Amino acid sequence: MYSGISSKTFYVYVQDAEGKPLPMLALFGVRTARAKKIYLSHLAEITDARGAKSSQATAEEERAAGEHLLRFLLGNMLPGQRAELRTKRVKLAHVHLSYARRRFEKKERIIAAIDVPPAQAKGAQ
Amino acid sequence: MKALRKDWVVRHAPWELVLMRVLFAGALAYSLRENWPTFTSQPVPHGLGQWIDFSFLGNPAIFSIIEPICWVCLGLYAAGVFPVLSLGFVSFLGIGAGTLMNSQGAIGHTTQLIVMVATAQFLCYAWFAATEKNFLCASRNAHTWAADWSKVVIAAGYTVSGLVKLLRTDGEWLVRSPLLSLQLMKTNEMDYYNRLIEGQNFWADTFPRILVEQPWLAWIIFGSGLLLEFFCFLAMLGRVWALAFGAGLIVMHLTISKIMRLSFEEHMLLLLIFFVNVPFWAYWLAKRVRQSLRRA
Repeated sequence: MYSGISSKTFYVYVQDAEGKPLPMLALFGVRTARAKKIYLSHLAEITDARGAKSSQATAEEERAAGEHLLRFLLGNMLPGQRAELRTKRVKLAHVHLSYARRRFEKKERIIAAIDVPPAQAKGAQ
Repeated sequence: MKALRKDWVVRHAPWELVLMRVLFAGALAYSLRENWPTFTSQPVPHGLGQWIDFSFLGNPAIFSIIEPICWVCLGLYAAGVFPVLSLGFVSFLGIGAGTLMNSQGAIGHTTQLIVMVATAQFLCYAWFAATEKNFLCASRNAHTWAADWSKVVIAAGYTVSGLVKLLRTDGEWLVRSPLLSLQLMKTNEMDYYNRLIEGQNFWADTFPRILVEQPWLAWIIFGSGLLLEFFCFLAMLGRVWALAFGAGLIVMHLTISKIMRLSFEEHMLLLLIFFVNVPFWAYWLAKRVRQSLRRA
């Protein structure tokens, strides 16, 4: 069970160029939970440099951390998984969940996108 | 008090200790196979990774060599032969694989407890091998210590987990627990994006809403989990206590895997082997039934 309890949280997942979700574990060998932690620790590194918290990150900082995660995921793919990747571009979606005034809220936005290196985008249509 | 003292240290029968080793070897084999890392670098070295580069473990060719050696080591450990070497090798691999996983810029704790138990057992065997000057076969005392320290490590792990919840929330964890409904939504959605397999909408959407509308339900569900974790050290009081806490914590894990789609198979296996100890209770029950049949 979680030790910290907050009224807001978030997670990230990967989409293809058309905005369709890609299976994180099956394709990149990394669970969504780990991907979020990698993104968050890199974001904290960036914001720490200017003495700010990761929750105060700018869109530019989020983009840099998001691109770092996407590069990590593409770099971690096994040859068999690479053949399954049929897109030329991958995007990172950020889903923010919150609970306030007895209501749940969900906001989704794209924070980063990178091109898949040609060698990996063989199967792309 | 006398009865409590008598029951304090559980003296396991030799056959129980053998079964515990066989089952624990199986649990270790399952855990290593399921969680073996595929990463081939350590971009953010963590823990021992700062001094040792474990990235070679992510090489499939190396894994194909290491895996059969692991089976042999686990077989030897289960048989009680060369436990220092055999379990030492597996513990080192477990630590290395976990370090490599945690050196990717994010840390997790899936295999932490099972590897901690293996390391604690290894230290017990090493201690007895050194003091008894016998590295080939472990004595009964060494096996007993290994089983007892396994339970200490498991109990400590859960108690610390309960304690951290209270410390991180200034003691308000239970009061705030209805807000865990947000985590329920998140983990269900995150699990969907792992493999794009739809779960049950009830747990991802309806149940979290019920929890915030009826906070008493969250207090009962999460409160009982917190109590089980926090007071887990009481499982060291004896077999009945261990059975109660073991079974309770397994129910807690099964509930979490149902409502949050987060599974902790290794933790459940450890509880089943060292706390619930099914073989002993099956033996105890059979003995009782035989005695009452004889009396009849």
